[in-house]
Amino acid sequence: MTVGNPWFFAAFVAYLVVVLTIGVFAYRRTRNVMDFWVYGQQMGPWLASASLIANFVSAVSVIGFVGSVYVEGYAIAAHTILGLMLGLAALYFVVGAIRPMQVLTFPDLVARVTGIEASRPVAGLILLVSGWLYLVMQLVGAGLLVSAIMGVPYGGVVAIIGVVFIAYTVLGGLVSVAWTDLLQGALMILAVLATLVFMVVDLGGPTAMNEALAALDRSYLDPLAGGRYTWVGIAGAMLAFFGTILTEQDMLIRIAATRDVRTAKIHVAAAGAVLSLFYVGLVLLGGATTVALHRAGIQPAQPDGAFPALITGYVPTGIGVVIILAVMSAILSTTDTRLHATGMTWARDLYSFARPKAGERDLMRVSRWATVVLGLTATGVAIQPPGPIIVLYAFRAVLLTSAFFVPVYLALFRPGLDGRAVLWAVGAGGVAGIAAQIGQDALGAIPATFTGVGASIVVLGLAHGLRRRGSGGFGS
Amino acid sequence: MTRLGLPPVMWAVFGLVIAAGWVGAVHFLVVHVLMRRRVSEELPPRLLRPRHRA
Repeated sequence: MTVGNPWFFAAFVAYLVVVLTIGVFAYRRTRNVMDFWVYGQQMGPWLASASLIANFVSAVSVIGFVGSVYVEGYAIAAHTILGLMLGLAALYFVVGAIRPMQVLTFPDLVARVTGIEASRPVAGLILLVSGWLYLVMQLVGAGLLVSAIMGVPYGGVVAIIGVVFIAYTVLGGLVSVAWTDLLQGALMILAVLATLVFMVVDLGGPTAMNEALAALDRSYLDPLAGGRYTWVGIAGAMLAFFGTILTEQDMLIRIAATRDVRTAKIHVAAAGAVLSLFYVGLVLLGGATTVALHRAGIQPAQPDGAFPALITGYVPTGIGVVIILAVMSAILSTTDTRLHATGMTWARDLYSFARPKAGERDLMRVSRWATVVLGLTATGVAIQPPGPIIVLYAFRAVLLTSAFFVPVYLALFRPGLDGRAVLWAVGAGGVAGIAAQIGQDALGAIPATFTGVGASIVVLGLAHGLRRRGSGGFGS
Repeated sequence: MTRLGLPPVMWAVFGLVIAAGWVGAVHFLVVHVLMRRRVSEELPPRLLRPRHRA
């Protein structure tokens, strides 16, 4: 095995050792299944905020956002990041209604607002598939990145990362995830900030950097990317990302893990404030990367290769090591959360529904085994990812928002809504959203999320009206 | 007309991103810190009505 830069490799190995050590520490603090699932619902504001921030910034966002700026400029701030920040703002205002309900997962919330216990495994299955696919894609992104930077074989990198994050997640559950996130969140923010400052100074200041970007192509500084997007298309993408913040399993688990409503509100508010500044910085870093690579005559093979190319071909080794640590933080802080959430979905939403009398030891055992099995299968698939999974990944945001967003949150704030009507709307929104995403060309300018959300609203209204009039059309 | 090399529309987008991210923090600071309104640990009363069961 040939190692590209021994300092990069040493940073990678040292990092894995530190997070494994935290995993062993967390194992000793995990006494029961509530500790494993939701930190015993005792997470304080500092730990909860840092953990949410670290989980939020994934490998896909660090690599993908910089790659996106390399291709189309700052437009990603409008069509993706603004939607995510609006989603966090909305989550802050609904958290006061969710946390007192004592629900642990999103399917718990669905069951609570519909009054139909059988909706738990249905929603759980959708979220399990969605979460597992996200896990695979995180591992694929991480493997490609680390492999490109360090010059080590892709399969080996995925296997090593897979084994380490499975090990510390299975040891301490959310206790491991939260404490490793605390380290990872701090590292990530400091590293991106340090790199941004280095790059902006290196390129002659922010004005010179942005003018150089505009000189390459004026559309780089256009929110519509020079006509690549329409305002309607941007609104559709914003809605999709906005909705995922309110419908993802791991967000509900984190709210459940906080010790009270006050802490839940503080951690969402603090994360929104920090992340908005972080993402603006990351987009500007993407601009700096684009200018630097063009000046140096470096052409990455694909957009996602822009950031690795900056690390290996432009910045000095010291800054490169800092970036490696940031990237590893982004990778592991998101993959561990997703793995923990999928393991918990299996144990809490599927297994405990099938066996409601399962004891604590049984649930803990199933949680750990589910974490191992789901983690290993995701790692195995990520080593040789089939094309369809990559295609399906693009549907995730559309599916979650189209299916769950309007029916579940409307039912949360309108307790009189009929439970079955809500479930019909979930099904209709999910199917319509996915169908629209598949047939996007046929629909022209109408974003798939608008179609899915629109279908869920129409079906919810019709089904609720029919049920209340006792027409018997929906199994009354 | 640009500032720091960015056109006004890009300033607006970045400003909206930061404003959206800070909505929760500003609300918490004003309502729960400056106005000292307690964060309710209970479900809002209007959500306590018996839920319609299927």
